[in-house]
Amino acid sequence: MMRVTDKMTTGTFLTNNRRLRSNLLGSYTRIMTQRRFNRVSEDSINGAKAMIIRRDLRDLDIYDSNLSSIKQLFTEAESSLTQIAHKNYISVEEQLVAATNGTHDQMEMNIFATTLDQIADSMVNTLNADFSERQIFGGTNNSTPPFEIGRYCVTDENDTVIYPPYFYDYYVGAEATQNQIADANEALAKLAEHNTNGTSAEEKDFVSMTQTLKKLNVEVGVNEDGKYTATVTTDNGKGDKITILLPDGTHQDFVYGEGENPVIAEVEAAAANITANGAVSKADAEALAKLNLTAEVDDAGTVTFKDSKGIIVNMAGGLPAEIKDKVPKEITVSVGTETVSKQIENEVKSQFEMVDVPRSITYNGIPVDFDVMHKMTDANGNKFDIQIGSKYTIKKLNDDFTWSEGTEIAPNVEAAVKGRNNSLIFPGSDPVYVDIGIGMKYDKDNDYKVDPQTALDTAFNGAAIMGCGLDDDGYSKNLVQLVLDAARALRNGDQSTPNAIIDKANKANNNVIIEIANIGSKQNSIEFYEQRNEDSRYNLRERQNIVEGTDMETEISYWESLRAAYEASLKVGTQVIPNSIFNYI
Amino acid sequence: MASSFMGLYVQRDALNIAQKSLDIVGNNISNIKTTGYTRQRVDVCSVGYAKGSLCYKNSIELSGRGAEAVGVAQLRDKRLDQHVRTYSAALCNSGVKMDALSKVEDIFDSIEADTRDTDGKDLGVSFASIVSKLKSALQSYSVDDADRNVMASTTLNAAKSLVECINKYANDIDKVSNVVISDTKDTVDRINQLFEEMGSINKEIKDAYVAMGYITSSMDNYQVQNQYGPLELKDKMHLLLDELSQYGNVDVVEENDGTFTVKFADSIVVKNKYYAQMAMTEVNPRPTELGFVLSSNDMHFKPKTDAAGNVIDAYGYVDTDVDYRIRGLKDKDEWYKLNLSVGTGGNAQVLLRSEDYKGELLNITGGHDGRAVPQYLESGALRGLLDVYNGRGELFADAAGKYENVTKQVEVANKALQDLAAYNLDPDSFSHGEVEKLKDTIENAIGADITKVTETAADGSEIEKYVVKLNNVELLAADGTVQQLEVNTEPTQDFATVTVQGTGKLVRQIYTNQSQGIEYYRDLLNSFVKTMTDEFNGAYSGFDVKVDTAEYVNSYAMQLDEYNRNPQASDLTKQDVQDIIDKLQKVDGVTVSGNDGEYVVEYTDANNKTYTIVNGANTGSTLNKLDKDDLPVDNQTSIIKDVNYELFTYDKDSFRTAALDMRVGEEWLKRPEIISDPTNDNDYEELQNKQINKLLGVFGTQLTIFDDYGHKLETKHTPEDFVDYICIELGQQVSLEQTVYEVTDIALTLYENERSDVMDVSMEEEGVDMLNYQKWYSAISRMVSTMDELLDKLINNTGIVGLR
Repeated sequence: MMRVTDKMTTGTFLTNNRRLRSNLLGSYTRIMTQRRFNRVSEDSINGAKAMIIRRDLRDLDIYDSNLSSIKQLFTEAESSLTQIAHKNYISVEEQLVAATNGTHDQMEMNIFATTLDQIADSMVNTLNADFSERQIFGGTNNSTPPFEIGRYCVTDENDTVIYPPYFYDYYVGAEATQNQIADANEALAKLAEHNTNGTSAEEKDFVSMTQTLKKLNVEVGVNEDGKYTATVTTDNGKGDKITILLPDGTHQDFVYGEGENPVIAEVEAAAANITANGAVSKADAEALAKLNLTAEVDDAGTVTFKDSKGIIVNMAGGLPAEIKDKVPKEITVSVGTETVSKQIENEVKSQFEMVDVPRSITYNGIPVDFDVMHKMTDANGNKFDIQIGSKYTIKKLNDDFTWSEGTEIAPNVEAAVKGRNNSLIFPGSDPVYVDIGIGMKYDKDNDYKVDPQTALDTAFNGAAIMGCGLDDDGYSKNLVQLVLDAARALRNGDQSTPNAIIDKANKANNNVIIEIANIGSKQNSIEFYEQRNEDSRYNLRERQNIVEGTDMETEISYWESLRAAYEASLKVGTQVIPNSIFNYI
Repeated sequence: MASSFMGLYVQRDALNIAQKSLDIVGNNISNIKTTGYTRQRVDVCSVGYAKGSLCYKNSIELSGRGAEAVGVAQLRDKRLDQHVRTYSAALCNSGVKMDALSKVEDIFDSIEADTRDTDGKDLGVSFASIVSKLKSALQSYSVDDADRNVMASTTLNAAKSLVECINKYANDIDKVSNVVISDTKDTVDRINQLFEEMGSINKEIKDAYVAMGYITSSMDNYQVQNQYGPLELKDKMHLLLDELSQYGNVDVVEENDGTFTVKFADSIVVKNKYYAQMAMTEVNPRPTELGFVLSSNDMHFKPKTDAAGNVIDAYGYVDTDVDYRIRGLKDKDEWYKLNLSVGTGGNAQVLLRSEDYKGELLNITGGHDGRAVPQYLESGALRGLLDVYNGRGELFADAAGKYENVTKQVEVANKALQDLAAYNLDPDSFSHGEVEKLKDTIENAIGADITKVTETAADGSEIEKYVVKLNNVELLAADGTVQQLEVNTEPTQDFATVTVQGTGKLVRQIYTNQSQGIEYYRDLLNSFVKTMTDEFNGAYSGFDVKVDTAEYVNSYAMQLDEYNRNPQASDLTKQDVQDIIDKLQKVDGVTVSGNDGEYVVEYTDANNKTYTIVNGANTGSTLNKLDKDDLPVDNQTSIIKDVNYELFTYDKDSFRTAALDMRVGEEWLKRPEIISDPTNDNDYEELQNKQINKLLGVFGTQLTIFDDYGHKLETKHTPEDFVDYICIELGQQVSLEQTVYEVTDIALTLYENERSDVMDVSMEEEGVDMLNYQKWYSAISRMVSTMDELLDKLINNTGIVGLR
């Protein structure tokens, strides 16, 4: 029989009471926090499960946030493309069909051209719209509007213009000047008619006429009666001005003239001096050098003239015709007897070439027609490939008719491979993969490259969507560029090109419609994943509740029983020093 | 024939015994609440012999001689005492571990610190949550396009938060570690007190026995009747033993002279009035390795001496053929042999620490003689504290590579010693920065003492040299004499020795505690930092970066110019200087020429114009910074090839402080957008997320987790998995310790009750005894009356017929 000592009694009571109180506190905490445990050590198995559930929930937050961001982006992209594919495209088609029915004169075709240009500008504005400070169609480019309409050329490493392909074919200095003079005279006539008869032209026509005149340095003014005046500065070096349009409609036309380049006379004079003197002075040598000629005097005093290839030139009768014909002519523009502009043909050519560079659309700084996958046409009409590894420079025509410094690009093999839809690798055309919870995988051994099948590409490559490069017929595949080309052709009185462009534009627009369908498909995926994530979240929370949550009914019952036991224990505590035999003796 | 008055004498003695028994009952009742009190009992026996007779007689006339009290005894059970102490040690062991590891679990709090608001928004601040927040920020950076600069800053801030969090964890681990050290110091102090008190009580017990006369003597010795004697002193001793048992495994032997010989951690710590004292040691090269040594209060342990008694070897192992004795009875100059023989499977490792110390040190915490486990200190709070403090687990300590860290650090120390020796020989050959780094390396690697000595050169100038000592062994002398260290390990041993090459002198003995203590979790955290950092940085390497030529070149040229001006005072090491030169030469057109301290830095631009930026060829170095505006446009920026970024950094020379020293890389801090635009040339690629996805790839890839010595975990983990792994591992261990604690507590309670059953006072029992002794006393009194009546009859009423 065990002896029950007082120490044993009190010790056992205190131990049990302490344990009861500890359990009571634990149960109380579980009820108050509604958690079954607050540390992994309290329930290591469920603790481990809880941590995984929590991580899954955090990941769901991330996926939801990603999906939410790109969903809005996709909606915005779809909306923009719908605007282009339906509204803008229909307008383009209507204008082209109307303009090419053969019933319009040049003036009307110019109006069609202006309208088409405006539609092209509108499409670019739509494509350049940003969403939440993101350029939707810029690919990875977000610093500048991705599309821009301007006048561009692309030169190769030898500074030869390779784009646009008809750059040299189209422009001839003298012809350009004559055209310009004709345009100016036409504008003057219209303004004069307006002054005289009050013909109402549209505001935009006046603007156009004014700009045409400005190209010949004509200052156009309007008096209080709405009558136009025009003045031009003479070339006499004194700054004298001639009024070429008066409010009463009196006006003088510009007259085109060609003369001999003064250099010819200067060279011939120098040659005569040398022959006469039997010696070559510095001034004479410099004069000859202007036409790449040199003079030698031998010991006998015989003078020999040579060209840059060392061939002897006979200057006895002045400059030979074969050389003289190659020297650019002096072109004059005059009004009456006064010369208002006198320039050497080359300079004139240069100036007017720039004015007539066609409008092109660029994507991230590169004309959309510049395409490594298609043959380009050079200045001589030869087709050639853009050379991988070669350097090209893209120059933009500034408002002051000067060329920008240019951006150098060097298509490389990697770029060509990365290009989509047969496009040149336009800057910013890399994919932007986003993790939407379908298990984005990375290749650790390959620089952590993302497996494209496991992520969503959220980049919209504008060049790929709107088209880029040229087709086999030499037409642009870009919808906007086609519109610009059509407008330009109409201005030049060309109806066949716009006619052909109707089909080409339709084809380009189909690509846009396909892209809209692709976006719609991706939006469906996004909605599917959103729904799936919502389901997952619900399931995870339910599971979290099972793993972590307190079963309140059970716990409260347990707490009640513990409380009863604890109170009983306290009651026992009052009797823990029981009566002993001493109470009875 | 018995005396007529024998009956009265018998009753007189019986009355005394009854009276004493009642006294003892009173004493028991009085001490019913006294801690450590053992119930007492008067031992009574029947008188069955004749005093003074040479032989036992049992004749009728000598019968009925009554009872005799032979002594007052205690009621204890040695077996139960041992059980209670064993379980008490086990309980305190798991209690200490549970307590300390719970604190570590609090650091990595993974459940309570992870909350969501009512809308489900993640408000978590747990480790897992903070790691996840960096991932989340990267994801947002990858997707969001609103303002990339803001997103870059947000991501950088998330990275900073993670780093700060890891720094805090490492710091908090240090704090827990320091609390454990502090607790350990207090514990050691208390144990030393207990040892001293026990020695003191032993002396009192011995004196008391002599005074009380419970002694039987023989020719050579004497023996006490140790069931009696100074019971209160014994109670006090048992009370101390009970307390001591909380700290470690205790064995007790009651000696013939009544004293208690106490073994703590299997080593004699109290013998007679003598007692040992403990001291803590911290052992390098693993600076946290904490051990304990026992020394005597009175030179108990004899150092190795020669025939003349001189200490001949203060270091190294003692020979196996030398007797190591503990002097038990000083006055008799008697040496008690300790069971300490080395190399023969004995119980302890004896180290002679120093001549000055004069005592041998007994290491009770390490393994010994090829015995891996158990170590001497098998249980108790002290063992628990030691395991928690030192325990590095088996995670990274495979059998072959267990001491690679020691080997590695000794190699580092040897190299640094050689370099410092070269400095002593030629102080001009090293810069100030290099010498400081060498000193730090030696101190960190092996914990050696480095002292500076100043010598006067021939030209009268002062030269500073360094002397390195480890455990009083001079490894480097001022004259450049250097001794190299080597590591000796045996596969069967759980310790390694560090000795001096050639002489074999022992300077360190390194143990590896394979419990899962604080160090284990620190290693896990450090491995997380190392793996994450290496992986992130590895993903960000090999970039061709566009820089501002002038800014880049000037920044490094300035450093080289400063070095030129005073190479000796420079904090730059030779390697630092070479790194600067390499970085400068990465710019096309930059050349660096000249000897050390006379460097010339030149830059030639595209127009063949040469700029001399640093000119150290002449007396004094001159600096002419490049001006961006002076350079041709093409030269204003340069491409630096093959640039590696350190998005995160830690001190690669100190794995143990990896988490503490982890930082966000300087480049990232300077340019938050570096993670999306590492080349600084991001035209048309502002939304490019390829580089960010690389970092997300680190989060999404199963990585091999390495420690600093190339050991790896068997299973691969993603960074988030690994965080969970740490938390779950910790939670499971705390849970295990809780279970062990609870089970041990139940067993201890059972044994305590059993012991209480034997030794504690029962009021009922004492009441019954009291009534019993009272009745006994009354009966004896009645017997005396009866005897009195008989004698009265005999004396006063016998033979008086006729007298009346």
